[in-house]
Amino acid sequence: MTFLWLVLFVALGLYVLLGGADFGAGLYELLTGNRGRVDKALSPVWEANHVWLILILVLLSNVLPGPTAQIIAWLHIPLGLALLGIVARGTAFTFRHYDPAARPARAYTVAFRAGSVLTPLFLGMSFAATGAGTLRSTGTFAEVYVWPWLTGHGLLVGVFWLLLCFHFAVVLLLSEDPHDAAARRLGFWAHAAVVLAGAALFAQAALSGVPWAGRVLAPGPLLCVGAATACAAGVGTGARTGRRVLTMVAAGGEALFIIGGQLLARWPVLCVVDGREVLAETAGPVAPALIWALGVGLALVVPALGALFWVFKAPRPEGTSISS
Amino acid sequence: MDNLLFARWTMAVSLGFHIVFACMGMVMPVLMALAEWRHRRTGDDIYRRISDSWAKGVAIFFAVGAVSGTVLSFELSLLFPAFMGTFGGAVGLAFAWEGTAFFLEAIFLGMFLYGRRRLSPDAHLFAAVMVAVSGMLSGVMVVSVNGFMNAPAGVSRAADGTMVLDPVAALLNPAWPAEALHMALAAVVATSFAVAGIHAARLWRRPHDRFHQTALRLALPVAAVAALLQPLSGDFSAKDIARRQPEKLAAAEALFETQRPAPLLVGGWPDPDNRTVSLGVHVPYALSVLAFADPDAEVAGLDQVPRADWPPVRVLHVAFQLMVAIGFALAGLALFSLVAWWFKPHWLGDRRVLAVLIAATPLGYLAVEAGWVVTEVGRQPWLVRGLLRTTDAVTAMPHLWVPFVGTVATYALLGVISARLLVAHIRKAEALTDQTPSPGAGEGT
Repeated sequence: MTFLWLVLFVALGLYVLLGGADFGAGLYELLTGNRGRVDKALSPVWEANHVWLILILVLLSNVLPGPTAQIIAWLHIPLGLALLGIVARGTAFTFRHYDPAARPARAYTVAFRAGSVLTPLFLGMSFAATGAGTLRSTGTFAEVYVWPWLTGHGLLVGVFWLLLCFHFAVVLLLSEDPHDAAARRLGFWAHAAVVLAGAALFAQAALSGVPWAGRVLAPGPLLCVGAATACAAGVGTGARTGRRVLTMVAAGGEALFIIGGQLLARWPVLCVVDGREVLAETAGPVAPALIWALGVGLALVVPALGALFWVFKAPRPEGTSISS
Repeated sequence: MDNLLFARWTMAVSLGFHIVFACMGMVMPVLMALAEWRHRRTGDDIYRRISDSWAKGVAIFFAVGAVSGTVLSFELSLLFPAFMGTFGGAVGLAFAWEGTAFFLEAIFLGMFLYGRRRLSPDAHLFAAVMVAVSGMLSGVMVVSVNGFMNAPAGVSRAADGTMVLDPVAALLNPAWPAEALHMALAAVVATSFAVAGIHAARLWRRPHDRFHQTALRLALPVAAVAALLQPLSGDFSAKDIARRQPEKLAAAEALFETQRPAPLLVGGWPDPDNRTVSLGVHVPYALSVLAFADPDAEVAGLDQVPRADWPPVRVLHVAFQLMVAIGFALAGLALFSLVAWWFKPHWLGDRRVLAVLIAATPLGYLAVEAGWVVTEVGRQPWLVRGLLRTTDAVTAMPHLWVPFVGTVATYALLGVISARLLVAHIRKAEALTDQTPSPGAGEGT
């Protein structure tokens, strides 16, 4: 059971940190119009980050196949739109990057930015629906397939995840030039927006009786909130003093503690269907072969990923450019 | 069309689109690594330029393949929830290994694309080889899921009736080896012949372009070797299907009655209602030999299966004929190419040969699509053979025409843009060739 929680946490955390930074970069580009910085920081091959999302799907399909498949079917519309966003932004970014035309089509940029914003929004709304108690197995088309995810709470969760991605992206993009004043201001406002959205989300969840809201005050989640707050202070200090490593680590820690706190607050409820809680105890054990596959997979992927970052972020020799 | 048909067509379009880009993503790195290796061996700069030029195509194909693959893995649950809901515990292992291999492919591709000046030449070549290896592995792993649908393994029922799944047995399902081999070879044949065809098409316009000549000579031997092996793998597959999915072979061959010995039907238009075939040539004993390597073997016909459980015979027969015909045509072309490559290299510049190569450009992919029609449509009405019917697996969500239209429109647009970019990159590479003073100028660098 703890193992299941841990893998979900790691997968979700890596998706938000690695994939989320990509999404956030799209919103950054939308707000600032600064293409150059985003082009430099992102690489088309990072489309592979959706593997973390697939890992979550595989894991839940392994331990809780029936409810997982059923919930995905009910969330067809937001998940379908999120997939459309993934396709649009991933291909548009690559097309823009590799179009030899002197002025690649404007449509690429529009698709990249729109997809970057809509994907985390719809994924967040889907995630919210699984815990909000709105999912229902019978009713009209709208009652089963639309209203469960299209809620004020869902929208708030979606916006919160989007802002979290955005903030982390700004911190990463700024790490190359920590003294860029305009960008630092943007980072500050992004951070303020995350904190505000988080507070608004918690207030809304508590007021409207979202099932997990009461458990946020349990020791585990509360500890995470505290740690996230400490990290937030670290982000502020790091940004003010121009210490890029501190800022990056603190921002990453803040996101991870928020995810951890949210998962702990929802635990052991995996989802709520027809008002009934589906508990983690009802989930089957993770197949040993799958644990091995995940272990070996991580042991192969993590060092390779580290090597890629090292190659990528190492100072570039003079006269080379990534697009040549 | 009803909801089930829209769900099936959405899946078919998604898979049909993804498989082309997946093949390119699997095989282009092999060709790239080959070019890179030739560059190391000869020091000729043209190989580096070919490798760089192909790498841009790979980056585009890889991104399209990656996102369309992400869509596919979710679509299984979105459209056919009962499949993942029942067998998610069995096929998850294959997806986990595929994900790992795919992620490694992405990482090494990143190193290859951006590492030319940052990595040592050895490390750069190693990255190319790793892209090729992990790309192939990811394809091989995911085919296991399809093998499970065709020949489910590791599924049993406990005393209380609940289903017990063994993911390792499911991963190592008996249909997997033949299918994975056939698909891997098909990917190599289709992609390398397409690459050869595209460079041949440019040579038609620019007969003395050394860039295209060299690229053609890199891709053609790879295509030829794979195309000569493919009929053997096809024979292996046919024997496997004859044992494990006799109704698929019977429908593909329009064999309505069980026969001993059974003839092979070439051409012809089956009429499933009257259980007859008009036109077409029957080759005596050939189907018995193909299915069981024994001219007197009995081959089960569709009469062994209830009429309601027949796969669509006409679709299957046409798709099977198309796949086999293209397979043999490309094997013939392969034999000719190897002879030419070995003994008469100047033939490869002959316009008649170029015309044939150009005509062959799309054939491999056509065969891949036809092959997927055979394996998927040939399993109907089952999603997991004998265990789960497609009708019982489809989502209850109405209005499935909307995702269908969205999928078709999105992928049509992506296909057009990718093709347009490919043409633009070829033009750019040619402009670069025109600037290069003389052949071999880069030698020794």
